[in-house]
Amino acid sequence: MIRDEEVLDRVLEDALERYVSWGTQNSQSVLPQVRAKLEMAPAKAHQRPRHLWLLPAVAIAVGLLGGGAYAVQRVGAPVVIKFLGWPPQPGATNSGRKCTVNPDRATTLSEAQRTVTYHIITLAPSTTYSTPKLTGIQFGSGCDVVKGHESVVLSYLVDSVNIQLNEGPADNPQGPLVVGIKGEKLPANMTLEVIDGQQYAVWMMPVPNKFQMPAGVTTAAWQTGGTVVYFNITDADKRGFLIPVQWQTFEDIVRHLR
Amino acid sequence: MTETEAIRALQAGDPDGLTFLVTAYEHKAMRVAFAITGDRLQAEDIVAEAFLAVHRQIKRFDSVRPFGPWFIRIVVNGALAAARKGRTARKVVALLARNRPPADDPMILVERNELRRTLIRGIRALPPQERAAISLRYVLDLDEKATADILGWPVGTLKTRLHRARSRLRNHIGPELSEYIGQMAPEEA
Repeated sequence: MIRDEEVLDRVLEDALERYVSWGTQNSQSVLPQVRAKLEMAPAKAHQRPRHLWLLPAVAIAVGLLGGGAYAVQRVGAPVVIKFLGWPPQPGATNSGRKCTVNPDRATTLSEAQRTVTYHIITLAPSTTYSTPKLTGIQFGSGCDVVKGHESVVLSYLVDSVNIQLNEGPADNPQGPLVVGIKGEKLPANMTLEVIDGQQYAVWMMPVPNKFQMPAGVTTAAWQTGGTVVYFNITDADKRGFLIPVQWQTFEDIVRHLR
Repeated sequence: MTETEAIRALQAGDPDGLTFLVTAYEHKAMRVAFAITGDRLQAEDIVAEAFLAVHRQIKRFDSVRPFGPWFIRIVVNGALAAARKGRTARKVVALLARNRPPADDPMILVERNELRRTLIRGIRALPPQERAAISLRYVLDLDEKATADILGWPVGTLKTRLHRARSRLRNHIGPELSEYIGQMAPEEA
């Protein structure tokens, strides 16, 4: 006796074949289109340097203007995105959005600071949110940004929102934070933002998505004064979707890190 | 010219390499892109863009690896992005024309077999990722491992999505499938 599954497979294959054959029967070769676009490409490339030469000037201007304001607090590094291509090069490290930390053991702030060589960044009180409550501090491992190092995980409760700061040593304290991303372009939910002269790689939901997950920041990474910081939200709704923090809250929080 | 020679030629800047690859892969790519997007013109654009991406990235391509899966992956990613955008646009259109029944596309109107017609409607209503999984599996006749590799998913995820897609389609065509089985000749069943 033939099984329903086999019949479904058979009719599905048949229907798809007819559908695709019908849909592509009048299609033209894309070769002329490809050639035309390739011919147009050099013309575009000519235009690029006109804009590109401005970039170093803009970077210097941002550095001069922003530097004075935040150098008092900390020294921030730029974020450089390294596209790993697809498939990624062998041995390439994807330091994308995931920063899962496996807490190894609880510690205290003073013990953690004695143990690690980098400055542990903490969240200071602010007038814009209630006094942050440090709910846990642990050594952990597994965060992509600080791969190969033990990181310090600070959990805070800020205005009823649970956030985590995963901190580790910068590979190159004098250089930029290099974030490896699989593929050739930034994912749609990722952006680079500058707040008070410090650059942040931010993963955010720009608008509520189809699952009604609200807009806001879910993760951010940056490097400051030899410390790599990974900001994560940890609250999830009943369906298990993370609840992002509003951009304004994120800005308030990062402006009060010491 | 062989495929490897074409890739090396393109890496050396010879446009004949690209011509060879377009000729060899555009039909397959069009079928996949159309199966995912359901739009011929959009599928042509996606395939053209995929070849331009090949042209841009070929120097970094390891010619020891097979070209086909790498290229089809570019096509699938383009088609998925377009399908997601199209979905949003269709929602807006549906909201604007809330009281009007949605129009079937010409393919559905010309298909005379009721079961196939229902099934095609069901395929078009699948979420893009499930449609991509079904397309690679059935249109390109790839096994689960090869399909998962191209989509960049673990095999378990692919199996789940294929299972979900089949369940949705089964629910979609439920009574008609039973009727069809009932009409099959005894030796067939």
